[in-house]
Amino acid sequence: MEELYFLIYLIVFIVGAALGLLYSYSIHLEPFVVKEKINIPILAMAIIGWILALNFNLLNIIPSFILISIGVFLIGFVIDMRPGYGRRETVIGFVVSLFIWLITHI
Amino acid sequence: MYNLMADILINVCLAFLFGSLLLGLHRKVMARVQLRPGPPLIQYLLHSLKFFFKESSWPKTISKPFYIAITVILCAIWVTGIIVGPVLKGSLMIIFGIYAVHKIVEHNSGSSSGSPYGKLSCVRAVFSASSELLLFASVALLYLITHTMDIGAIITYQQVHGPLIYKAPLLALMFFMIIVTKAPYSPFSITTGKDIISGFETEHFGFLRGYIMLSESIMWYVLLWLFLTIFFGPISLLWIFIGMIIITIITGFISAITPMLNPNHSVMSQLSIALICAIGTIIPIMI
Repeated sequence: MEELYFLIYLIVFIVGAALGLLYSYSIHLEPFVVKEKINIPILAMAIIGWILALNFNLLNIIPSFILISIGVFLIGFVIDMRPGYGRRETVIGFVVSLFIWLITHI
Repeated sequence: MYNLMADILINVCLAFLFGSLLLGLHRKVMARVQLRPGPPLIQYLLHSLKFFFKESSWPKTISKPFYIAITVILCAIWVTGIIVGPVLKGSLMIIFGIYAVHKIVEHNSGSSSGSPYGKLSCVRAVFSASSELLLFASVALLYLITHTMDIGAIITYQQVHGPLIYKAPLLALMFFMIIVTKAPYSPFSITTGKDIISGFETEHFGFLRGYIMLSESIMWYVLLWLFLTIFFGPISLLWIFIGMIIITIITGFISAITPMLNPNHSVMSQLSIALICAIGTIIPIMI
């Protein structure tokens, strides 16, 4: 059963990654990576995604399976944007989520 | 009610998808070490799927039945690897047999294409059978320590005696070298060296290449699963996944910063590592 859940998370991650890739290539058609400021909507997606994936036990009213799936989808969307984009957002999202995890577990 | 077929199907899909992502991560790590942006994580998976929808072509020089059958055999053996490993936790001897057949596939895939690159890779596949010595030695030494070839029994052994990585670190290193040997662009991957284009895979196009890529991702998953299960004991699937990601990053670093060895040096290095690790493992057992 554990394998089935992981398979679903993987599929959701891959769908998110493919959509993230398509989205970022539709925004950035340049043949080079543009150095831009942090993209706020993408940052929000990254933070929400990492929080849902790592801290799903904070929201007991919704089944953890659904929360992790949504989180993994958002993580995949941001982490697999066009190479060069979404990196800083991913790192910030992970650090924020890890910080919350540490606060709630220590 | 337990359904074996469903279990096999889920594990094969899991191995294919996660193995593909890991190989994508491997390329990404290599690229970042070499100061390139690198491809997206899902690039390897997209490539694998793409080949299933591309037109297949047949070079004039091929031995057609063999040329086609060899990719099916490659796929079949690694699906068997999933059944013997993660699903049934069966015998290590079957895994050793699968690994041996993989070498035969590399050899015959190269020779059946009729391409000079394939033929060179075919010769190198015979050379690189030395990596099987690493596997054979590690399986034999595992038997000496645990008195069993059964993966399930080895897991139980570790439940009682603790992870084998502490008891036989050199044995773990020997097994790790097998993983490095199978990593893309590794110093020991002489059969697919860039000096011979893509080696035994050079002449395989379309869905046949798709089968090869699918098999390679499953193979990567099985090898990493074996390493983590045999040396780290009974760990959950989440920790196995985390371990796989860490090992892939390590092998990505190794592949990025080491040049590919020539066949003679590759064989001698593998034999030397096998010898040192085997002696280093046997002596404490005898004492």
